[in-house]
Amino acid sequence: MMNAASAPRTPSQVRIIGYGCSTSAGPTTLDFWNHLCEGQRIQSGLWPHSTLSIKDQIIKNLCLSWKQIHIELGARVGVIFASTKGCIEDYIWNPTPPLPSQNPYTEILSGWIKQVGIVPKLSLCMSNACSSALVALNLGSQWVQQDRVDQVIVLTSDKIGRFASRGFESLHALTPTYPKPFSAERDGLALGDAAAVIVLGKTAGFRLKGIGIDTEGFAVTRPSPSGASLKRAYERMTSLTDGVVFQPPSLIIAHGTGTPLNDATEDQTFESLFPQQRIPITATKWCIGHTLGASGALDLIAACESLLHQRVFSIATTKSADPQFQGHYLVNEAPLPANNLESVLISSLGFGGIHAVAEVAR
Amino acid sequence: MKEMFVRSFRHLYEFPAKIEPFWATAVDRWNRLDAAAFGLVDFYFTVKDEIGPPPQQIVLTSPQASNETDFAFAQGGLNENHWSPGRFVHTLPSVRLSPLCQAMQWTGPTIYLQQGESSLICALQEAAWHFELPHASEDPLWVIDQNASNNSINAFVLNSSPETSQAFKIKLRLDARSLLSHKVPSTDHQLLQWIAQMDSTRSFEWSSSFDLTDDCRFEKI
Repeated sequence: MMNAASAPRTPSQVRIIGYGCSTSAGPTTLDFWNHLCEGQRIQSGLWPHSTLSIKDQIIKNLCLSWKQIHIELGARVGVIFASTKGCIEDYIWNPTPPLPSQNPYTEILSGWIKQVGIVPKLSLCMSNACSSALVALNLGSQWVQQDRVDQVIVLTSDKIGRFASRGFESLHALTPTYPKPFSAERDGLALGDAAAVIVLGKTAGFRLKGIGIDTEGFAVTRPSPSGASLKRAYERMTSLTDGVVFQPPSLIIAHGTGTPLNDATEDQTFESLFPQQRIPITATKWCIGHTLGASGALDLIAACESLLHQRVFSIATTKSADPQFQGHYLVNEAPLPANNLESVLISSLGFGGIHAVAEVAR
Repeated sequence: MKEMFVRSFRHLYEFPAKIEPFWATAVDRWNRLDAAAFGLVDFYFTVKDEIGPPPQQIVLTSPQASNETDFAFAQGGLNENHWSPGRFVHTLPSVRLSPLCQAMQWTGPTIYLQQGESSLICALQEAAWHFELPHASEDPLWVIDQNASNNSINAFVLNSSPETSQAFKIKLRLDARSLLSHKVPSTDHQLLQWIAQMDSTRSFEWSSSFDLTDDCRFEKI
């Protein structure tokens, strides 16, 4: 097996200088954070009903997210839009082709740029399954680190329509009740709408210590059970990042979909990386559902909020962890750790075997 | 000024295959692959012996993404009430990299990006800049451009040092710090025409260089 172990490192001097999100919990980051901390699960996971096209709903919610960010932009700005499906669903139900000659990811990007009135030096779209947000943040970090731009605005969003619902149903991946990540009773994921915006730069903010990415050919829809690929992503992040010391993180925000195989893989990975260290592990998808391409950005926002408030949230829908798991899961009513958070590790698992980790610190 | 040395490959494939491909046993259930995934694996086994060492990263671009598989999944559900899980798993453009990784027995970072009619140009630029990261590996970097509607692949192997048989160079002006990029009219179609003409005996209609932005140009070797 060939392994691109010597792949270039992720830059280390990049900071998260602003963020905002709009989820089914409400149109602000505070709504998201409050629901996590109060253990409130959103029933539907979807934004309020709208007659707008998917494209316009995504642009609208990206704008809502952007309005929460109050920073002064430099002259050279980069913009990246990351999503799994973008707004292709606005086109594919019509039985009479032709389809658009290109995927309309760019319609969302250009629509948002027009709405907010900025002129980016660099801009592009990305789609890397449910690791889309972290892959986009990695590229944005490189733009900042290489001084190609002053700041990078990473836009992430997916709107759950009939396409994703039917697709995940066909895979029997949806829970008939509610997601219970890392529980022995876990029986699938719930889907959720979200838009999230993260701005990277070099001024004050949370330190994005590194991002690691790996792609494996084990299977299209499930990671290798040993967690080897996610572990490689972590090792790539830590071994190739200059001048940054990686200690075990204070907290892990796992991908935590609540599917049997994904959760088991993450448990294997974390125990392999940090054996018997009892690092607290939590997750967000029990609350707002799996938001696909935006999910990594939302986990990163939750990590920043945890660092900001020095507060940890539990996996409120899980009563007890799977006894076969070794990780220290913050299940409902588990005592939460003391307020000494220095860094948070987050992980993303994606279809097609693309997996990623990121670590953020104060 | 930083120079990247590029070799290019063009691959056409037939889908659905009329006979079992010679590489059938190298991937899981070859006959369940969609056209895009089939094409990538077929490309790899066709050029395997000449493409050189494994890449440090793969950059994939395909302007149509997975539109056709998306459409087939949706119409299958609407018309036949059959929501095919086999189709659904291929409704992400990056997923086609999984069978490729399996075929190559390779793991590493990958990225799918898109920028409309200049997706390939953008991918080549990003790949070239990748070599400028601190501690960048000397290993090559692959850029794969897939046109799912006509079953074709244009692949590019970038190296930071010259090798034999490279077709063109990408020059990065690393000191370029202008406020905005003023792109000259440039599309993937124009770039591919330019590359194709380099290999022909006809006189070039394009000049020997191909300006992209204020900080990047392609240049014939």
